[in-house]
Amino acid sequence: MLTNEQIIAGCLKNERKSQKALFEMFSSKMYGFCLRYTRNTAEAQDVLQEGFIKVFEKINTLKDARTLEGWMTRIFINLALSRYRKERSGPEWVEVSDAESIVDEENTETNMDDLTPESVLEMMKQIPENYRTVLNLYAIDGLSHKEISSLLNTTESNSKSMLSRARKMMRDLLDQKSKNQ
Amino acid sequence: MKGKFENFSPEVPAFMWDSVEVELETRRSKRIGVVWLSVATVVLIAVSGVLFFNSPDTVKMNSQKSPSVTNPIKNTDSHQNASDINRGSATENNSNVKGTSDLTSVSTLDNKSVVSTISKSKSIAALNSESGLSNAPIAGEENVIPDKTSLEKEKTTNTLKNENRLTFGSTNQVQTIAYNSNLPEFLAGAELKEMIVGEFLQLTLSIPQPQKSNKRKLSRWAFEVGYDMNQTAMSYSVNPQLGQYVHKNYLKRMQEGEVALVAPQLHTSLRYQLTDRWVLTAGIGFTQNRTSQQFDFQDSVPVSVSQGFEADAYGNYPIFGYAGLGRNVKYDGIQLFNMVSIPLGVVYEYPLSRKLKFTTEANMRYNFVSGTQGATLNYYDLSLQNSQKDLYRNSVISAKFGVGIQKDLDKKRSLGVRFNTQGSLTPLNLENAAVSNKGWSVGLSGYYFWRIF
Repeated sequence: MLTNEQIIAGCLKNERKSQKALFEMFSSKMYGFCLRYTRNTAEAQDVLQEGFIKVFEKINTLKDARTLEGWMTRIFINLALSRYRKERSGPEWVEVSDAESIVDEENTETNMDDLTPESVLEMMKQIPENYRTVLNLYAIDGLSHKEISSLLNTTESNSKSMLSRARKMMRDLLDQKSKNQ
Repeated sequence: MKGKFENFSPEVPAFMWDSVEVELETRRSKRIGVVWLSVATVVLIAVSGVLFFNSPDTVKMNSQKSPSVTNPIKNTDSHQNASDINRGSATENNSNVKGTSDLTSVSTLDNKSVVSTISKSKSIAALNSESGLSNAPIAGEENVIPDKTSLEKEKTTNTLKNENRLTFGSTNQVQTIAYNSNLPEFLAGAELKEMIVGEFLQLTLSIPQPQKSNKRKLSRWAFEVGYDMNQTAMSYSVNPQLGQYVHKNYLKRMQEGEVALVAPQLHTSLRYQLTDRWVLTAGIGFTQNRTSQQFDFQDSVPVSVSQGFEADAYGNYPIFGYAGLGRNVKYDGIQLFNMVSIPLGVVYEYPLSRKLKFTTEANMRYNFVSGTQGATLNYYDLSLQNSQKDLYRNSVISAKFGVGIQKDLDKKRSLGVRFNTQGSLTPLNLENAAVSNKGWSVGLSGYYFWRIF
């Protein structure tokens, strides 16, 4: 079993064995990440492939082996967002009032308790991409609205609005799902 | 939600690693290709340089041997009385012998029969039998006894013809015998004439002298380096079928915000002189298209619908309305397009004087977009977006046309300037984009080339 340091050292020498070890170690987690930020599995696989290529090419910029996972996550976030910016589509947002943006987060969270990550992912796929991106960044990856606005080249209030819309849509989808059951 | 995905690790398809591996190999091959291309370019430049600076100044002449003819008097056959020979005009004509290449000795036997040696191993008789020479006069020609004037005239004519002439005997009795035949191949172009002068023989072998020329045997190949400095601009047009995907003020904003800058272009190429006037060129070049972007505005936000419509190349959907003002867009920067080009062209050179030529050039370029920098406006919502390489095609085709003057510095080197205009034939934006953007430019090119090989 190779250690992180050994894997990184091997990757720095372009050793295929080490690259494969790194892929096997992180591909599953990164694939989950890609699935959240893309519209379908094909896109997620594209991002996963592109992301690992980038990781192998840029691994010489990694300063501390202990931060490998965080460093890789940042690469995948940047890649996903770059793709988002490039392929932005779907309904555009308009400014909404602060009042409207207040959403009952706990209510949404509670309703999701019984769902598997795959089911939540399925629901998330049904909301527009820009809303989903903000939801991902804020609610799952823990970025602040300030960080999100900077990443997405938008305003904080827009970020809040999109999050609000996203949650509302998720709540509606949950309601619909529970009614169907 | 965060907790839901903390340990979310879906199964990765088995083929994913293979895809990554294939991609890694492909990129490695591309890198190796670029390295080899660079090495090849450096070697080409180095070899050209060495050839250029070490080329011999002397011209390789025709391989004809230098004249070496022994004095016919000294080589007279043993049958011949030396004193008889001396009575003739051999001495007078010795100087004319210079330049005769293969003639090494001449001898006479008597008035009627001739035994002359053209080469060390061949007698004229042998030559006669090989080439069909005979002593018979040409049909319709009579034996003529020329007077002194006609002899002088003939001599003059022969001299003008660079004729090498051997004369034996006195001039009181002259008989001219012309041979109606061709000479052997190795004496191609030579004329053999015999005159019997009294009891002696005048034998004239006329071999055209190789034209001594200072002209260099020029190579058809040349190596060229050139630099273009053009004023450039981007032109934008909306695809008529996808007009509703473009913000109503996009073209206006771009027009207001863009300032054309220069597009420096460096190229090296090989030239092949097809004919005196036509030249083919092929090479490699690097182009950088620079455009200044200065935006400071606030415009309406588009509202789109997606159901029932298809996205364009950038994933935009048709705009059905606008909802108030969006963010202020403020930017001041330079947008760069770096391209590696492969120009293939044809040049026509029309001589104006000995050293000056009027030239026209037309070439097509295959340009690989190697990188972009800066920002531009998103045509859908007028947001500022980075000019990422993947927003554009990997390659575009462009054309160039130029007219100018070329000066030959010497036989090998030339320098020229041209006024040129060039433009892209394919848009930079992706296929099926709602906006087509093409670059065009006008400017001056300077180039220098030298013949190689």
